[in-house]
Amino acid sequence: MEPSRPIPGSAALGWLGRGAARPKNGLFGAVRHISGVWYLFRLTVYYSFVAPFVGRNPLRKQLFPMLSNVGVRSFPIVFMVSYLIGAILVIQTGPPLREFGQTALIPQMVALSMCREFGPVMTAIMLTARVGASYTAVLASMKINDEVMALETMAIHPVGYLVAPRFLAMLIMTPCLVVFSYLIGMCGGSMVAYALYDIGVQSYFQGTIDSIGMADVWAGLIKAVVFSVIISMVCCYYGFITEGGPIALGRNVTFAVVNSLVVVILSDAVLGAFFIGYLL
Amino acid sequence: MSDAVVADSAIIRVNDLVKRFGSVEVLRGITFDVKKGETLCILGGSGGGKSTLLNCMIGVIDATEGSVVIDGDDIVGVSERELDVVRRKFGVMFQGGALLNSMTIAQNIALPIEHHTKLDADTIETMVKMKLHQVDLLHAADRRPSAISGGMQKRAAVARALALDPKILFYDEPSAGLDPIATTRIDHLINKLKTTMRMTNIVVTHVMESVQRIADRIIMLDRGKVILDGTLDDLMTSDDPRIKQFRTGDLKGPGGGATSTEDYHRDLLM
Repeated sequence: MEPSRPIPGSAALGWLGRGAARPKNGLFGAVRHISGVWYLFRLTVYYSFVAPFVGRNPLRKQLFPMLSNVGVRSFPIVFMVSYLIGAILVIQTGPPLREFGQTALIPQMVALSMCREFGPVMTAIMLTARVGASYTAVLASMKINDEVMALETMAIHPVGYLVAPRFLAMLIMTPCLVVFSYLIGMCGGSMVAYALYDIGVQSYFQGTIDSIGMADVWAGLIKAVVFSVIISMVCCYYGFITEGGPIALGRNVTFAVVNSLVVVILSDAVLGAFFIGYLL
Repeated sequence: MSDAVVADSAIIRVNDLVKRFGSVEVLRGITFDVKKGETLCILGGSGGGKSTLLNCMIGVIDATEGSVVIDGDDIVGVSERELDVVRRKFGVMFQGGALLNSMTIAQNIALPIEHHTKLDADTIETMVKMKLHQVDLLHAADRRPSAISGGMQKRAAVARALALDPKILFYDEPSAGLDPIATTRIDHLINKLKTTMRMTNIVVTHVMESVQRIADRIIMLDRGKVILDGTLDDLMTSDDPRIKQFRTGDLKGPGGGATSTEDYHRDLLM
Protein backbone atom coordinates (compact mmCIF):
# COMPACT_ATOMS: atom_id res chain seq x y z
CA MET A 1 0.00 0.00 0.00
CA GLU A 2 1.23 3.49 -0.85
CA PRO A 3 1.55 5.47 2.41
CA SER A 4 -1.35 7.82 2.99
CA ARG A 5 -0.71 11.54 2.78
CA PRO A 6 -0.01 13.16 6.15
CA ILE A 7 -2.36 16.06 5.49
CA PRO A 8 -5.58 15.13 3.70
CA GLY A 9 -5.72 16.62 0.25
CA SER A 10 -2.11 17.79 -0.05
CA ALA A 11 -0.38 16.86 -3.29
CA ALA A 12 2.37 14.39 -4.20
CA LEU A 13 5.02 15.31 -1.66
CA GLY A 14 2.54 16.02 1.10
CA TRP A 15 3.84 18.77 3.33
CA LEU A 16 7.43 18.16 2.25
CA GLY A 17 6.74 19.99 -0.99
CA ARG A 18 4.69 22.79 0.46
CA GLY A 19 7.16 24.34 2.87
CA ALA A 20 5.01 23.44 5.90
CA ALA A 21 8.10 21.64 7.17
CA ARG A 22 10.18 24.80 6.95
CA PRO A 23 13.06 24.61 9.44
CA LYS A 24 11.88 25.54 12.88
CA ASN A 25 13.82 25.73 16.08
CA GLY A 26 13.35 23.73 19.23
CA LEU A 27 11.79 20.41 20.00
CA PHE A 28 8.75 20.99 17.79
CA GLY A 29 10.99 21.63 14.78
CA ALA A 30 13.06 18.52 15.49
CA VAL A 31 9.94 16.35 15.76
CA ARG A 32 8.62 17.77 12.49
CA HIS A 33 11.90 17.03 10.72
CA ILE A 34 12.00 13.48 12.08
CA SER A 35 8.41 12.80 11.04
CA GLY A 36 9.19 14.36 7.64
CA VAL A 37 12.15 12.04 7.10
CA TRP A 38 10.01 9.08 8.22
CA TYR A 39 7.26 10.05 5.76
CA LEU A 40 9.81 10.34 2.94
CA PHE A 41 11.29 6.96 3.93
CA ARG A 42 7.89 5.24 3.72
CA LEU A 43 7.22 6.75 0.28
CA THR A 44 10.73 5.80 -0.86
CA VAL A 45 10.36 2.19 0.26
CA TYR A 46 7.08 1.99 -1.65
CA TYR A 47 8.56 3.50 -4.83
CA SER A 48 11.74 1.40 -4.56
CA PHE A 49 10.39 -2.04 -3.72
CA VAL A 50 6.68 -2.09 -4.63
CA ALA A 51 5.91 0.41 -7.40
CA PRO A 52 8.50 -0.89 -9.95
CA PHE A 53 6.89 -4.33 -9.78
CA VAL A 54 3.38 -3.03 -10.43
CA GLY A 55 4.48 -0.90 -13.37
CA ARG A 56 4.21 2.44 -11.55
CA ASN A 57 7.85 3.47 -11.35
CA PRO A 58 10.27 2.20 -13.98
CA LEU A 59 13.71 2.67 -12.43
CA ARG A 60 15.90 1.12 -15.10
CA LYS A 61 17.13 4.34 -16.73
CA GLN A 62 17.99 6.32 -13.60
CA LEU A 63 19.45 3.58 -11.42
CA PHE A 64 22.65 2.71 -13.31
CA PRO A 65 24.03 6.26 -13.54
CA MET A 66 23.32 6.62 -9.82
CA LEU A 67 25.13 3.38 -9.01
CA SER A 68 28.10 4.63 -10.95
CA ASN A 69 28.03 7.99 -9.19
CA VAL A 70 27.76 6.54 -5.68
CA GLY A 71 30.01 3.52 -6.14
CA VAL A 72 32.57 3.89 -8.90
CA ARG A 73 33.21 7.61 -8.50
CA SER A 74 33.42 7.38 -4.70
CA PHE A 75 35.94 4.55 -4.86
CA PRO A 76 39.12 6.71 -5.17
CA ILE A 77 38.33 8.85 -2.11
CA VAL A 78 37.25 5.81 -0.04
CA PHE A 79 40.44 4.03 -1.17
CA MET A 80 42.67 6.90 -0.12
CA VAL A 81 41.01 7.56 3.24
CA SER A 82 40.78 3.86 4.21
CA TYR A 83 44.44 3.24 3.29
CA LEU A 84 45.51 6.20 5.41
CA ILE A 85 43.28 5.20 8.35
CA GLY A 86 44.81 1.69 8.32
CA ALA A 87 48.30 3.19 8.24
CA ILE A 88 47.53 5.75 10.96
CA LEU A 89 46.10 3.06 13.24
CA VAL A 90 49.43 1.23 13.13
CA ILE A 91 51.47 4.42 13.51
CA GLN A 92 49.49 5.54 16.59
CA THR A 93 48.99 2.22 18.39
CA GLY A 94 52.32 0.60 17.48
CA PRO A 95 54.52 2.31 20.13
CA PRO A 96 52.39 1.35 23.20
CA LEU A 97 51.99 -2.20 21.89
CA ARG A 98 55.76 -2.45 21.36
CA GLU A 99 56.33 -1.21 24.89
CA PHE A 100 54.45 -4.25 26.15
CA GLY A 101 55.97 -6.55 23.53
CA GLN A 102 52.60 -7.05 21.86
CA THR A 103 53.31 -5.94 18.28
CA ALA A 104 51.90 -9.29 17.13
CA LEU A 105 48.45 -7.89 18.05
CA ILE A 106 48.72 -5.10 15.46
CA PRO A 107 46.94 -7.05 12.65
CA GLN A 108 44.08 -7.96 15.00
CA MET A 109 43.74 -4.39 16.24
CA VAL A 110 43.64 -2.96 12.70
CA ALA A 111 41.25 -5.65 11.44
CA LEU A 112 38.74 -5.23 14.26
CA SER A 113 38.90 -1.43 14.12
CA MET A 114 38.37 -1.39 10.36
CA CYS A 115 35.53 -3.94 10.39
CA ARG A 116 33.57 -2.73 13.36
CA GLU A 117 34.17 0.99 13.24
CA PHE A 118 36.41 2.80 10.79
CA GLY A 119 35.33 1.02 7.60
CA PRO A 120 31.62 1.86 7.82
CA VAL A 121 32.01 5.21 9.61
CA MET A 122 34.71 6.66 7.34
CA THR A 123 32.85 5.44 4.24
CA ALA A 124 29.65 7.06 5.56
CA ILE A 125 31.48 10.34 6.17
CA MET A 126 32.96 10.30 2.67
CA LEU A 127 29.59 9.45 1.10
CA THR A 128 27.82 12.19 3.05
CA ALA A 129 30.30 14.77 1.87
CA ARG A 130 30.60 13.57 -1.72
CA VAL A 131 27.17 12.14 -2.54
CA GLY A 132 24.75 13.29 0.18
CA ALA A 133 25.57 16.97 -0.32
CA SER A 134 25.00 16.61 -4.06
CA TYR A 135 21.65 14.87 -3.45
CA THR A 136 20.47 17.86 -1.41
CA ALA A 137 21.84 20.44 -3.84
CA VAL A 138 20.34 18.77 -6.92
CA LEU A 139 16.90 18.20 -5.41
CA ALA A 140 16.81 21.69 -3.87
CA SER A 141 17.75 23.30 -7.16
CA MET A 142 15.09 21.25 -8.99
CA LYS A 143 12.52 22.25 -6.38
CA ILE A 144 13.39 25.95 -6.68
CA ASN A 145 13.23 25.82 -10.50
CA ASP A 146 9.76 24.18 -10.46
CA GLU A 147 11.20 20.99 -12.00
CA VAL A 148 9.74 18.92 -9.17
CA MET A 149 6.32 20.46 -9.76
CA ALA A 150 6.69 19.81 -13.49
CA LEU A 151 7.34 16.11 -12.80
CA GLU A 152 4.24 16.03 -10.61
CA THR A 153 2.05 17.46 -13.39
CA MET A 154 3.43 14.85 -15.81
CA ALA A 155 2.11 12.20 -13.38
CA ILE A 156 5.69 11.23 -12.53
CA HIS A 157 6.01 10.98 -8.76
CA PRO A 158 9.05 13.02 -7.63
CA VAL A 159 9.92 10.51 -4.92
CA GLY A 160 9.75 7.62 -7.38
CA TYR A 161 11.73 9.39 -10.07
CA LEU A 162 14.27 11.33 -8.01
CA VAL A 163 14.62 9.71 -4.59
CA ALA A 164 14.10 5.97 -5.18
CA PRO A 165 17.09 5.56 -7.55
CA ARG A 166 19.31 7.62 -5.25
CA PHE A 167 18.20 5.61 -2.23
CA LEU A 168 18.72 2.25 -3.98
CA ALA A 169 22.13 3.30 -5.33
CA MET A 170 23.27 4.25 -1.83
CA LEU A 171 21.77 1.07 -0.33
CA ILE A 172 23.56 -1.17 -2.85
CA MET A 173 26.91 0.60 -3.10
CA THR A 174 27.63 1.52 0.54
CA PRO A 175 28.14 -2.11 1.72
CA CYS A 176 30.33 -2.73 -1.37
CA LEU A 177 32.47 0.30 -0.53
CA VAL A 178 32.67 -0.77 3.12
CA VAL A 179 34.05 -4.18 2.09
CA PHE A 180 36.66 -2.40 -0.05
CA SER A 181 37.38 -0.14 2.88
CA TYR A 182 38.08 -3.19 5.14
CA LEU A 183 40.54 -4.64 2.66
CA ILE A 184 42.30 -1.41 1.79
CA GLY A 185 42.60 -0.35 5.45
CA MET A 186 44.25 -3.66 6.23
CA CYS A 187 46.63 -3.18 3.30
CA GLY A 188 47.55 0.26 4.64
CA GLY A 189 48.15 -1.22 8.08
CA SER A 190 50.20 -4.03 6.61
CA MET A 191 52.53 -1.66 4.73
CA VAL A 192 53.28 0.40 7.85
CA ALA A 193 53.57 -2.70 10.07
CA TYR A 194 56.15 -4.10 7.64
CA ALA A 195 58.09 -0.85 7.46
CA LEU A 196 58.11 0.00 11.19
CA TYR A 197 57.74 -3.30 13.03
CA ASP A 198 59.06 -5.79 10.50
CA ILE A 199 55.83 -7.80 10.41
CA GLY A 200 55.80 -9.74 7.14
CA VAL A 201 52.83 -9.30 4.79
CA GLN A 202 51.95 -12.98 4.92
CA SER A 203 52.04 -13.21 8.71
CA TYR A 204 50.13 -9.89 8.94
CA PHE A 205 47.26 -11.23 6.84
CA GLN A 206 47.36 -14.59 8.62
CA GLY A 207 47.01 -12.69 11.92
CA THR A 208 44.12 -10.72 10.42
CA ILE A 209 42.27 -13.82 9.24
CA ASP A 210 42.76 -15.54 12.59
CA SER A 211 41.45 -12.57 14.57
CA ILE A 212 38.22 -11.61 12.82
CA GLY A 213 35.06 -13.62 12.51
CA MET A 214 31.99 -13.32 10.32
CA ALA A 215 30.19 -11.49 13.15
CA ASP A 216 32.70 -8.63 12.85
CA VAL A 217 32.17 -8.42 9.10
CA TRP A 218 28.39 -8.50 9.51
CA ALA A 219 28.51 -5.82 12.20
CA GLY A 220 30.17 -3.46 9.71
CA LEU A 221 27.82 -4.39 6.88
CA ILE A 222 24.70 -3.83 8.99
CA LYS A 223 26.07 -0.44 9.97
CA ALA A 224 26.70 0.30 6.28
CA VAL A 225 23.06 -0.42 5.39
CA VAL A 226 21.75 1.72 8.26
CA PHE A 227 24.10 4.58 7.37
CA SER A 228 23.11 4.46 3.71
CA VAL A 229 19.43 4.81 4.63
CA ILE A 230 20.17 7.71 6.99
CA ILE A 231 22.35 9.63 4.51
CA SER A 232 20.05 9.24 1.52
CA MET A 233 16.87 10.03 3.43
CA VAL A 234 18.17 13.01 5.42
CA CYS A 235 19.89 14.55 2.37
CA CYS A 236 16.91 14.05 0.03
CA TYR A 237 14.56 15.39 2.72
CA TYR A 238 16.52 18.63 3.05
CA GLY A 239 16.53 18.96 -0.73
CA PHE A 240 12.76 18.67 -0.95
CA ILE A 241 11.94 21.14 1.82
CA THR A 242 14.09 23.86 0.26
CA GLU A 243 12.18 26.98 -0.69
CA GLY A 244 13.47 30.35 -1.81
CA GLY A 245 16.79 30.86 -3.53
CA PRO A 246 20.52 30.15 -3.37
CA ILE A 247 20.83 31.09 0.31
CA ALA A 248 18.18 28.53 1.30
CA LEU A 249 19.91 25.97 -0.91
CA GLY A 250 23.29 26.56 0.73
CA ARG A 251 21.77 26.51 4.21
CA ASN A 252 19.94 23.25 3.57
CA VAL A 253 23.04 21.56 2.13
CA THR A 254 24.83 22.47 5.35
CA PHE A 255 21.92 21.20 7.48
CA ALA A 256 21.79 17.99 5.46
CA VAL A 257 25.51 17.21 5.83
CA VAL A 258 25.73 18.17 9.51
CA ASN A 259 22.53 16.37 10.51
CA SER A 260 23.39 13.27 8.47
CA LEU A 261 26.75 13.04 10.21
CA VAL A 262 25.25 13.58 13.66
CA VAL A 263 22.63 10.88 13.09
CA VAL A 264 25.24 8.53 11.59
CA ILE A 265 27.49 8.89 14.66
CA LEU A 266 24.52 8.54 17.02
CA SER A 267 23.32 5.39 15.30
CA ASP A 268 26.92 4.11 15.24
CA ALA A 269 27.05 4.41 19.04
CA VAL A 270 23.69 2.66 19.45
CA LEU A 271 24.55 -0.12 17.00
CA GLY A 272 28.03 -0.51 18.53
CA ALA A 273 26.54 -1.00 21.98
CA PHE A 274 23.96 -3.42 20.59
CA PHE A 275 26.56 -5.50 18.73
CA ILE A 276 28.87 -5.69 21.74
CA GLY A 277 25.90 -6.87 23.82
CA TYR A 278 24.33 -9.37 21.43
CA LEU A 279 26.40 -10.11 18.34
CA LEU A 280 30.11 -10.06 19.16
CA MET B 1 -13.36 9.78 -8.18
CA SER B 2 -16.43 11.99 -8.30
CA ASP B 3 -19.33 11.02 -10.50
CA ALA B 4 -19.88 14.65 -11.39
CA VAL B 5 -21.37 15.07 -14.81
CA VAL B 6 -19.78 17.58 -17.12
CA ALA B 7 -22.01 19.16 -19.72
CA ASP B 8 -21.25 18.07 -23.28
CA SER B 9 -19.40 21.19 -24.26
CA ALA B 10 -17.65 21.90 -20.92
CA ILE B 11 -14.35 20.07 -20.50
CA ILE B 12 -13.48 21.84 -17.24
CA ARG B 13 -15.93 22.93 -14.58
CA VAL B 14 -14.72 24.89 -11.58
CA ASN B 15 -17.43 25.15 -8.96
CA ASP B 16 -17.41 27.39 -5.89
CA LEU B 17 -13.66 26.95 -5.42
CA VAL B 18 -12.21 28.20 -2.15
CA LYS B 19 -8.55 28.10 -1.14
CA ARG B 20 -7.31 29.24 2.24
CA PHE B 21 -3.73 29.40 3.46
CA GLY B 22 -4.19 29.51 7.23
CA SER B 23 -6.58 32.38 7.83
CA VAL B 24 -5.91 34.03 4.45
CA GLU B 25 -8.58 33.30 1.85
CA VAL B 26 -6.89 33.51 -1.55
CA LEU B 27 -9.74 32.15 -3.69
CA ARG B 28 -13.25 33.06 -2.59
CA GLY B 29 -15.86 30.98 -4.38
CA ILE B 30 -14.64 30.84 -7.99
CA THR B 31 -17.09 29.32 -10.50
CA PHE B 32 -16.69 29.00 -14.27
CA ASP B 33 -16.68 26.47 -17.11
CA VAL B 34 -14.25 25.98 -19.98
CA LYS B 35 -15.67 24.69 -23.25
CA LYS B 36 -13.90 22.12 -25.41
CA GLY B 37 -11.54 23.70 -27.91
CA GLU B 38 -11.72 27.25 -26.55
CA THR B 39 -8.90 29.45 -25.29
CA LEU B 40 -9.67 30.89 -21.89
CA CYS B 41 -7.46 33.65 -20.52
CA ILE B 42 -7.31 34.14 -16.78
CA LEU B 43 -6.41 37.75 -16.06
CA GLY B 44 -5.79 39.72 -12.93
CA GLY B 45 -3.29 41.82 -11.11
CA SER B 46 -0.49 40.44 -8.96
CA GLY B 47 -1.83 38.77 -5.83
CA GLY B 48 -5.27 38.37 -7.37
CA GLY B 49 -5.22 34.57 -7.08
CA LYS B 50 -4.40 33.61 -10.71
CA SER B 51 -1.48 31.31 -9.89
CA THR B 52 -3.33 29.73 -6.96
CA LEU B 53 -6.31 29.04 -9.22
CA LEU B 54 -4.01 27.49 -11.83
CA ASN B 55 -2.27 25.35 -9.19
CA CYS B 56 -5.65 24.13 -7.93
CA MET B 57 -6.74 23.30 -11.49
CA ILE B 58 -3.61 21.22 -12.18
CA GLY B 59 -3.77 19.45 -8.82
CA VAL B 60 -0.51 20.81 -7.45
CA ILE B 61 -2.31 22.28 -4.46
CA ASP B 62 -5.58 21.04 -3.10
CA ALA B 63 -8.57 23.35 -2.81
CA THR B 64 -10.09 23.91 0.62
CA GLU B 65 -13.66 23.74 -0.69
CA GLY B 66 -15.44 23.32 -3.99
CA SER B 67 -14.65 21.18 -7.00
CA VAL B 68 -12.51 21.15 -10.15
CA VAL B 69 -13.96 18.70 -12.65
CA ILE B 70 -11.64 17.91 -15.58
CA ASP B 71 -13.17 15.86 -18.37
CA GLY B 72 -15.58 14.24 -15.92
CA ASP B 73 -13.20 13.67 -13.00
CA ASP B 74 -13.19 15.78 -9.85
CA ILE B 75 -9.58 16.30 -8.75
CA VAL B 76 -10.24 17.90 -5.36
CA GLY B 77 -9.48 15.61 -2.42
CA VAL B 78 -8.67 12.53 -4.52
CA SER B 79 -5.68 10.23 -4.00
CA GLU B 80 -2.38 10.71 -5.80
CA ARG B 81 -3.04 7.63 -7.94
CA GLU B 82 -6.45 8.92 -9.08
CA LEU B 83 -4.92 12.31 -9.76
CA ASP B 84 -2.24 10.72 -11.95
CA VAL B 85 -4.94 9.31 -14.24
CA VAL B 86 -6.45 12.79 -14.72
CA ARG B 87 -3.03 14.39 -15.16
CA ARG B 88 -2.49 12.46 -18.38
CA LYS B 89 -5.42 14.37 -19.88
CA PHE B 90 -3.65 17.71 -19.61
CA GLY B 91 -0.24 19.29 -20.04
CA VAL B 92 1.24 22.29 -18.25
CA MET B 93 3.67 24.95 -19.43
CA PHE B 94 5.26 26.64 -16.43
CA GLN B 95 6.33 30.25 -16.31
CA GLY B 96 10.05 29.46 -16.47
CA GLY B 97 9.59 26.38 -18.64
CA ALA B 98 10.62 24.06 -15.75
CA LEU B 99 12.54 21.83 -18.16
CA LEU B 100 14.88 19.36 -16.47
CA ASN B 101 18.28 21.01 -16.82
CA SER B 102 20.21 17.76 -16.67
CA MET B 103 18.61 16.57 -19.93
CA THR B 104 18.54 17.72 -23.53
CA ILE B 105 15.35 19.14 -25.01
CA ALA B 106 14.62 15.84 -26.77
CA GLN B 107 15.16 13.86 -23.56
CA ASN B 108 12.83 16.23 -21.71
CA ILE B 109 10.08 15.56 -24.22
CA ALA B 110 10.74 11.81 -24.22
CA LEU B 111 10.54 11.61 -20.41
CA PRO B 112 6.74 11.40 -19.96
CA ILE B 113 6.44 9.07 -22.97
CA GLU B 114 9.09 6.70 -21.57
CA HIS B 115 7.53 6.82 -18.13
CA HIS B 116 3.93 6.16 -19.13
CA THR B 117 4.20 3.95 -22.20
CA LYS B 118 6.06 0.82 -23.23
CA LEU B 119 6.94 2.12 -26.70
CA ASP B 120 10.33 1.22 -28.18
CA ALA B 121 13.12 3.77 -28.47
CA ASP B 122 12.66 4.34 -32.23
CA THR B 123 8.96 5.11 -31.87
CA ILE B 124 9.64 7.48 -28.99
CA GLU B 125 12.31 9.25 -31.04
CA THR B 126 9.85 9.72 -33.91
CA MET B 127 7.21 11.05 -31.52
CA VAL B 128 9.70 13.49 -30.01
CA LYS B 129 10.64 14.77 -33.47
CA MET B 130 6.95 15.29 -34.27
CA LYS B 131 6.43 17.30 -31.08
CA LEU B 132 9.55 19.37 -31.75
CA HIS B 133 8.38 20.03 -35.29
CA GLN B 134 5.04 21.27 -33.96
CA VAL B 135 6.81 23.97 -31.94
CA ASP B 136 9.46 24.62 -34.62
CA LEU B 137 12.38 23.45 -32.47
CA LEU B 138 13.68 20.43 -34.35
CA HIS B 139 17.10 22.09 -34.67
CA ALA B 140 17.45 22.39 -30.86
CA ALA B 141 16.70 18.75 -30.01
CA ASP B 142 20.15 17.97 -28.63
CA ARG B 143 20.72 21.21 -26.79
CA ARG B 144 20.29 21.66 -23.06
CA PRO B 145 17.68 24.09 -21.69
CA SER B 146 20.41 26.41 -20.41
CA ALA B 147 21.82 26.70 -23.95
CA ILE B 148 18.64 28.05 -25.59
CA SER B 149 16.74 31.33 -25.29
CA GLY B 150 13.78 31.96 -22.95
CA GLY B 151 11.30 31.85 -25.84
CA MET B 152 12.73 28.55 -27.09
CA GLN B 153 12.56 27.14 -23.55
CA LYS B 154 8.87 28.01 -23.39
CA ARG B 155 8.18 26.38 -26.75
CA ALA B 156 10.13 23.32 -25.63
CA ALA B 157 7.98 23.26 -22.49
CA VAL B 158 4.88 23.31 -24.72
CA ALA B 159 6.33 20.39 -26.72
CA ARG B 160 6.87 18.44 -23.49
CA ALA B 161 3.34 19.26 -22.35
CA LEU B 162 2.09 17.88 -25.68
CA ALA B 163 4.07 14.64 -25.32
CA LEU B 164 1.16 12.46 -24.19
CA ASP B 165 -1.33 14.10 -26.58
CA PRO B 166 -3.44 15.81 -23.92
CA LYS B 167 -6.83 17.38 -24.53
CA ILE B 168 -6.07 20.43 -22.42
CA LEU B 169 -3.03 22.70 -22.06
CA PHE B 170 -2.44 25.06 -19.16
CA TYR B 171 0.00 27.96 -19.64
CA ASP B 172 1.37 29.94 -16.71
CA GLU B 173 2.42 33.40 -17.92
CA PRO B 174 3.61 32.24 -21.36
CA SER B 175 4.87 35.68 -22.35
CA ALA B 176 6.64 36.60 -19.10
CA GLY B 177 10.18 37.79 -19.76
CA LEU B 178 9.91 37.50 -23.57
CA ASP B 179 10.49 40.12 -26.23
CA PRO B 180 7.48 41.13 -28.40
CA ILE B 181 8.47 38.83 -31.28
CA ALA B 182 8.89 35.79 -29.04
CA THR B 183 5.58 36.66 -27.35
CA THR B 184 3.82 36.77 -30.72
CA ARG B 185 5.40 33.45 -31.64
CA ILE B 186 4.05 31.78 -28.48
CA ASP B 187 0.62 33.32 -29.12
CA HIS B 188 0.60 31.97 -32.66
CA LEU B 189 1.57 28.55 -31.31
CA ILE B 190 -1.37 28.62 -28.89
CA ASN B 191 -3.71 29.55 -31.74
CA LYS B 192 -2.22 26.88 -34.00
CA LEU B 193 -2.79 24.18 -31.38
CA LYS B 194 -6.37 25.30 -31.00
CA THR B 195 -7.15 25.24 -34.70
CA THR B 196 -5.17 22.16 -35.73
CA MET B 197 -5.67 19.92 -32.69
CA ARG B 198 -8.84 21.39 -31.13
CA MET B 199 -6.79 21.90 -28.00
CA THR B 200 -8.46 23.53 -25.01
CA ASN B 201 -6.08 26.24 -23.78
CA ILE B 202 -6.16 27.86 -20.34
CA VAL B 203 -3.74 30.77 -20.24
CA VAL B 204 -2.84 32.71 -17.11
CA THR B 205 -1.47 36.05 -18.22
CA HIS B 206 -1.58 39.78 -17.66
CA VAL B 207 -0.29 40.86 -21.07
CA MET B 208 -3.16 42.63 -22.87
CA GLU B 209 -1.63 42.24 -26.36
CA SER B 210 -1.54 38.47 -25.92
CA VAL B 211 -5.09 38.41 -24.64
CA GLN B 212 -6.25 40.27 -27.74
CA ARG B 213 -4.50 37.74 -29.98
CA ILE B 214 -5.57 34.49 -28.35
CA ALA B 215 -8.59 34.82 -26.05
CA ASP B 216 -11.99 33.35 -26.91
CA ARG B 217 -13.16 34.03 -23.39
CA ILE B 218 -11.75 35.90 -20.43
CA ILE B 219 -12.01 35.43 -16.68
CA MET B 220 -10.73 38.29 -14.59
CA LEU B 221 -9.88 37.83 -10.93
CA ASP B 222 -9.58 40.44 -8.25
CA ARG B 223 -8.76 39.53 -4.65
CA GLY B 224 -9.85 35.93 -5.16
CA LYS B 225 -13.16 36.63 -6.88
CA VAL B 226 -14.27 36.57 -10.51
CA ILE B 227 -15.11 40.11 -11.55
CA LEU B 228 -15.50 39.39 -15.27
CA ASP B 229 -16.49 36.32 -17.23
CA GLY B 230 -16.96 37.24 -20.84
CA THR B 231 -15.40 38.02 -24.19
CA LEU B 232 -12.68 40.44 -25.20
CA ASP B 233 -15.39 42.98 -26.07
CA ASP B 234 -16.80 42.70 -22.56
CA LEU B 235 -13.33 43.40 -21.16
CA MET B 236 -12.74 46.37 -23.44
CA THR B 237 -16.14 47.97 -22.82
CA SER B 238 -16.55 47.27 -19.10
CA ASP B 239 -17.14 50.27 -16.84
CA ASP B 240 -16.00 48.45 -13.71
CA PRO B 241 -13.25 50.72 -12.30
CA ARG B 242 -11.04 47.69 -11.42
CA ILE B 243 -11.23 46.38 -15.00
CA LYS B 244 -10.75 49.85 -16.44
CA GLN B 245 -7.63 50.38 -14.35
CA PHE B 246 -6.22 47.00 -15.42
CA ARG B 247 -6.96 47.79 -19.05
CA THR B 248 -5.37 51.23 -19.02
CA GLY B 249 -2.61 50.57 -16.48
CA ASP B 250 -3.42 53.75 -14.52
CA LEU B 251 -1.69 54.15 -11.20
CA LYS B 252 -4.76 55.80 -9.68
CA GLY B 253 -7.70 53.55 -9.01
CA PRO B 254 -9.07 50.78 -6.78
CA GLY B 255 -6.07 48.56 -7.54
CA GLY B 256 -3.72 51.04 -5.85
CA GLY B 257 -0.27 51.86 -7.12
CA ALA B 258 0.01 55.62 -6.62
CA THR B 259 1.09 57.09 -3.29
CA SER B 260 0.34 60.72 -2.57
CA THR B 261 3.03 62.93 -1.07
CA GLU B 262 0.98 63.25 2.13
CA ASP B 263 0.58 59.45 2.40
CA TYR B 264 4.31 59.01 1.77
CA HIS B 265 5.22 61.43 4.56
CA ARG B 266 2.72 59.79 6.92
CA ASP B 267 4.14 56.31 6.14
CA LEU B 268 7.65 57.53 6.91
CA LEU B 269 6.70 59.17 10.19
CA MET B 270 4.26 56.58 11.55
